[in-house]
Amino acid sequence: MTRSNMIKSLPPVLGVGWCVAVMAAYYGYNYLYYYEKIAVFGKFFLGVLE
Amino acid sequence: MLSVLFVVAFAVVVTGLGWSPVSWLDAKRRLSDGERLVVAFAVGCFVVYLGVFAIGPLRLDALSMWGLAAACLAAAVPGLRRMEWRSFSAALRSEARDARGEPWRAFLWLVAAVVGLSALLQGMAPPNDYDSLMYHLSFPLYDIERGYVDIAWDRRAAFVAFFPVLMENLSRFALAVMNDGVAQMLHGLFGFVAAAGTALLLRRVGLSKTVALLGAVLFLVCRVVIWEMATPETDVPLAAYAVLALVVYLAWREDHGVGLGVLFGMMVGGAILTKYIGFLVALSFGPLLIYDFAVRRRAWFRGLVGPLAALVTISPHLIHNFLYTGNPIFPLFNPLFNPGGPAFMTNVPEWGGTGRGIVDLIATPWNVFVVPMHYFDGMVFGAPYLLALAPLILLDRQRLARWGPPLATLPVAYLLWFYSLSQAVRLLLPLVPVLAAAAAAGAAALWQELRGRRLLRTALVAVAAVMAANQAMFVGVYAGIRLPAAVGLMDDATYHARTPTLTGAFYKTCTYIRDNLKEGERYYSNIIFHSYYCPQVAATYIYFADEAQWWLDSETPPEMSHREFLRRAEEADFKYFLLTTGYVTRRNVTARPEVIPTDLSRIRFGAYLQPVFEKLRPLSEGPYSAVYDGAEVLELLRAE
Repeated sequence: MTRSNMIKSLPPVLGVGWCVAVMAAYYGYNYLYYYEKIAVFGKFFLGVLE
Repeated sequence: MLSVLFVVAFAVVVTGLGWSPVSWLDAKRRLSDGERLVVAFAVGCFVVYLGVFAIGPLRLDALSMWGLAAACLAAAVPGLRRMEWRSFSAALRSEARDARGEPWRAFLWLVAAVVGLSALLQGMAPPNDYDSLMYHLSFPLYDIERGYVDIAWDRRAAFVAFFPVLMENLSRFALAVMNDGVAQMLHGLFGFVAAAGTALLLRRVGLSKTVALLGAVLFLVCRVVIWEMATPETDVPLAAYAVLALVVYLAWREDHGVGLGVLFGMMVGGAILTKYIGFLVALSFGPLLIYDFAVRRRAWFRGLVGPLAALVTISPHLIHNFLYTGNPIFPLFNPLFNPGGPAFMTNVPEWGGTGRGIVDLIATPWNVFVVPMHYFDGMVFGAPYLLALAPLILLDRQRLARWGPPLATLPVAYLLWFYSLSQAVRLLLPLVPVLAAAAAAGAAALWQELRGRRLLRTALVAVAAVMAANQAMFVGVYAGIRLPAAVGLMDDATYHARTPTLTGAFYKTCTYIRDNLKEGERYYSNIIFHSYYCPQVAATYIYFADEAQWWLDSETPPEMSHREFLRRAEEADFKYFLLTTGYVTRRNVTARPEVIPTDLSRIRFGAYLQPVFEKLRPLSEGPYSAVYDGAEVLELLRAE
């Protein structure tokens, strides 16, 4: 791959990398929230179904 | 069903009301048909607001408000007749045809329709959010009960009654002619307007209809939007006026004609009339106005048209507040207008966030999306798709210059939010349409850049799928909680028992009083806020009528001896005492509820009442409140 091709391919790679980084950081910091809420929501929906 | 029909009729009538002035002000047809429709809706709502503003202080009941409705209908007829129905229906047919040949676009239409309509219909569930129970709905109900509009002097945070009331007046109108479900759904309509504004902004910047639709969806699926669309909260209407102001500004800057300048000012005025944070929207246009009129050297007096129109739009509110308090923007900056008078909300800027330093300023856009539970007002956005996708517009180098004006409105708004407000993230909602638009454009730009790169496209699809599933969970949860109650499959009591809200709705205890209190009887209440579900006029809430205005001139509440309290309580012959017993907070990382018992000694008359309540059994008890028999309380108070 030539240097100009490498430079050209960098923005999309950075774009996807940024999305992955944001998502990973978000779930890393908020896993306790989802751990708690998924259980609460699950119980709620089971209650509604019953 | 009747409520839904009423809401649809309301939307049509107010759009008809706004159509004629919008057509007149946009004589050169700089606005597209879609832009005219949503701006006409926003303008038409002013008529209802002003109608309630003018008639309400004299009379607020079903008769007066149906009279207003009839007048609005009559006034809307010319606009409705002038609307280009054939052109609208042709555009719809063409859109339907295009969507059939483009599955992704059809899917986006489906998502927008399901999310939007679900949120709208959820408005028929019983009101259950803190601010609405505390003032957005309870103040209008107070007025309905007394038969005219006045200040709720004796209520907790009564200074809120001096906040702009565009949306509260729509609630007053809805409560008088229909019900609280209609009040909530009228607010929900603004979610559609804001989503449409987001799409129209993308069209203005030159993106395709599919990307525009994606932007609308990205706005609608924000957790706070899903939640607020079914409540009388005012952040979504503020977002609607904010994005419409931007769309009209972009059209206006083509030639800076007077008409569109007026319309721009009206939209900014609408934002301010929705809530004072609309001033943040107004100031956010500062850099654009300076650039357009100072740097591009346009005729400076044309630049004044918008701000002047905004000032005229909000002038009824300013005059009202000035007459009552001497401060047109009461309670903001009160000591400035009333030297020596009390300052309100002075602790607001210390409430949330990581700090006010330069590092915090730079890191906060990341923090509000990534660590919302740690430093801010909870899970406002849900998955951080706006943070992930919006910066990707940098990849769309062709259109980058066209993004300049919309993006130029963000820094001032952000700085004001950061330094002068509580850093409650939901208050950023007026910025969200621009962020959602940028996110949609960014996603489209990245998708284009990834042409022929299968692996990276798969990675992007995986990220999008996770975030979409995350937001679908919130959409599903709110629908699952509210829709059964909204469509009558669940009774109100069960709904309130199962659905948590900040401090509780006090539904059980308030309903007990509402069911048992007879005409002319009074009761005493000291619950943390006087709920919408309680009778309003019959309550003596912490302060007696003659002392209720104390907070207007003083920061020190009046004192009252045990003897005087007993004398007044006997004179009022309180049938019930409604007591706060605790409150719940979810301000923690997992949003798990923590119940905190009330310390009665910190509440007025609590020291007198606590020994009495300890000896009595409540007539009715809810999660955070209890009702006691008035005669028994008075008897024990005499014995103290």
